[in-house]
Amino acid sequence: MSVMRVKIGEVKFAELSVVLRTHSLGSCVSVILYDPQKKVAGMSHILLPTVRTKEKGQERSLFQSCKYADVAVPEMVRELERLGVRRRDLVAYVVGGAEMFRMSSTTLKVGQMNVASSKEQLEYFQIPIVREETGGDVGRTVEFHVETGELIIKTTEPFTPQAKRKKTTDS
Amino acid sequence: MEGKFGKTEMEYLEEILMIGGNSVIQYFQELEMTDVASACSVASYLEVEDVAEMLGNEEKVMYSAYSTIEGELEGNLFFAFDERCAHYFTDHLKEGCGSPTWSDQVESSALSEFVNMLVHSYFNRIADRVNSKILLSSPEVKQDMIGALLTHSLIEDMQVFEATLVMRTSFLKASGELFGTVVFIPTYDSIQRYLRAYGAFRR
Repeated sequence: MSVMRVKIGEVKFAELSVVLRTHSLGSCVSVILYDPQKKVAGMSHILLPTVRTKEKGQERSLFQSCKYADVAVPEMVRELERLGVRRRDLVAYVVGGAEMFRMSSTTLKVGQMNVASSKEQLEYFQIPIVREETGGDVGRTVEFHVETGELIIKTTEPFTPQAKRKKTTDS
Repeated sequence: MEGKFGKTEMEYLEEILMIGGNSVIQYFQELEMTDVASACSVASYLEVEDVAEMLGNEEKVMYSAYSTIEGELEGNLFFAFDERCAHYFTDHLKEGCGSPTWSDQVESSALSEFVNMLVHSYFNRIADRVNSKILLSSPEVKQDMIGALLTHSLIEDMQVFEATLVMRTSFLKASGELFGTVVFIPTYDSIQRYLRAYGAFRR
């Protein structure tokens, strides 16, 4: 079983026995599109909700643009269709969008904005979300097993220095 | 950020960071925390994935104190350190108080306050150098995957640019072992103003 890593701003596609994996989602969001019949999936690691207006129309590579939800999701749909998947057979998983720090400012609400923008795109393409794990204040690493459709989300357990020391001593 | 600084400006930026770095070393020495022996500063432009992996494996669980900086210098500041370092800080503080056991809450609070003093020591000296005013928000200390914590700082820059200016000072033990790293991600305008005040564009 091979693991294909999806870095920030990337989208990758895989089929059958491949595991798609993206690390350390904080306010970033991963949208996974999956055809359970054909066992084909695409995974994104989205950094920002929307392309700024002044950037629209500029020539940008797929890698650069896919850091935006409103570019990544349409690109994924397009590429999956090119691979022979029908849009109506797709289901979606949405993970991430945490607010890692409590400090309040509009900028720092980007986790929520990433989730909202991703869901808006999925609604536009009429792709149902079968599992969503978003928000909160924890980092997440996501694995998607294309063969089985299994989604594994790993988080870290918060601990204080003292609690960790006890744990270390016990072991 | 409207442009990129050249080699000379980047060298000045590293010089400025060393002012903060030396201030922190002095702060450690005053507290008799002599394990921290030296500071090493680097200013560079990094792409988003490189920022996430700057401190090693982006999935590595670390502590990170996050502050916003306002005033004549603006940006986001992190102080990233690992669990050993957190223990070192809190154990030292306990010894100073003659109190061997603290509740988790007191220990976390003490850690936050220690980091607060450290980042203020770092930035106050940098601000004093050009008589500028810099306001740091009280740092929020969080423990999680370092990649998830650091990408938070890139949001504004990455709306427009593919690479961002990252200024960092690493604190090292005499053995060369990493103790902790201050990561400062400034706004272009404010760092340009600071460099002018520092005399970097005149020399």
